Amino acid sequence: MAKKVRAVLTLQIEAGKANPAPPIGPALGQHGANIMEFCKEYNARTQARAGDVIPAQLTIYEDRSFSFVLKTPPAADLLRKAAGVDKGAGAAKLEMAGSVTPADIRRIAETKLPDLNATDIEGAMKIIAGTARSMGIGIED
Amino acid sequence: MDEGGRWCEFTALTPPHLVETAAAFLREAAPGGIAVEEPVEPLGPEEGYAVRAGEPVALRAWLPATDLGGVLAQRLRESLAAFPDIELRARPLRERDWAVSWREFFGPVTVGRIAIVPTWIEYAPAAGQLVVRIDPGQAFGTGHHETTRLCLAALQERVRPGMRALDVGAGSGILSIAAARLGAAAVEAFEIDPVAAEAARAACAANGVDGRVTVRGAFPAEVAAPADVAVVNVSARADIAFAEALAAALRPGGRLIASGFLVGDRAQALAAFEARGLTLTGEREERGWALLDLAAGG
Repeated sequence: MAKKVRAVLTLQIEAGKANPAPPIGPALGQHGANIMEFCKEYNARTQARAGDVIPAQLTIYEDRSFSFVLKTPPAADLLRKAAGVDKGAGAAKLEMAGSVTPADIRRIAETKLPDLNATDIEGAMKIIAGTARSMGIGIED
Repeated sequence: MDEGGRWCEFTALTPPHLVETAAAFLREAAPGGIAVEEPVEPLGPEEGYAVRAGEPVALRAWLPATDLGGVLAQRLRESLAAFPDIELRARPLRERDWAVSWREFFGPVTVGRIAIVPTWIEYAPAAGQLVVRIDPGQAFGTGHHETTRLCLAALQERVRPGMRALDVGAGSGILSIAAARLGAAAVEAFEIDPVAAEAARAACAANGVDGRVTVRGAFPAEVAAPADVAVVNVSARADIAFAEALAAALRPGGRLIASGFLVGDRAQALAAFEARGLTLTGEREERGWALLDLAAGG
């Protein structure tokens, strides 16, 4: 079948919990893709990893059919896990939410490399370190 | 009609290197999740897409239009204010805008005597009309693409009761089911993608033609018996690669319906088929997409 791509989008959603509410409903709905079909399949593929955010990258074709692949968890989630905190300090950055080591940064950068806008590990580490700082997660010396 | 809950859609147009950071802030406001849309340049059929490097990525979060949503939205604006390169836009949205709209898109499609109808629509066929039930999903072939419609039209001219048919690149199974509805006694459907192949099997069963349609894996493969008619609707590159095997799978005088390519690729595809002894007997076009109707030698 002559598949021509209409849109590519990644949903950052929790494993096994996809439903037609936002973000899935509006994200797929505005491209005319079958919301329930995606939810069913995503949940089936991710149910064993409940609690983690497992992004799904969807390719939606011109006739509104779609395919999707699962991606690595977001950098923020991996950083929180490494720092042992529930959430970042948030906007104000008045408090430090926790800290990670340079080795953590490298490990997360390696995990995320295939999904980041970076060509090498140094570039990926810079992105991860930047994310950590903006979340109020410190990097130990 | 109930229009459902009111929401506010936030779009953060974000430079590529800040995507992870912005995503973290959006997720804090919208714990249910967010969507990240890459700026892509679609390439030709079956050729995927290219990401437009350096262009902003659209991150989207949806917050309920409630007091709590307002507080979360305010926090989001404050967090992102520290990043002047990120442009935040907002617009109101109702649940109805997405819950119903995508289904409205998939109304019945009719091509000649064939009507393609999703299972959630009650449909009373007109006299002589043939109904193919297909739910849009993870397999290409919903009836909403030019090449699918071109093939459906051509199949109606070529398939006669009792014929053997081949469907190469079956996708959702839409063309195989249509061939069976038109009276084909046996259809062999080839689909390399296992997800699509499974969808095609399910669709054949739902249409009650699973006894006549066999969904198989990759083509080329040995076919059970020479075919009276074959349809290939993949892409110029794939159709050309399959040309020899398709010619070999047809009985002398059998017909080939080839589509999946743009008008600009027509000459190249035709040359490949003619080199395998097929002759052009007709052609169709719709919005820049081409279909070739060919006959096997002998």
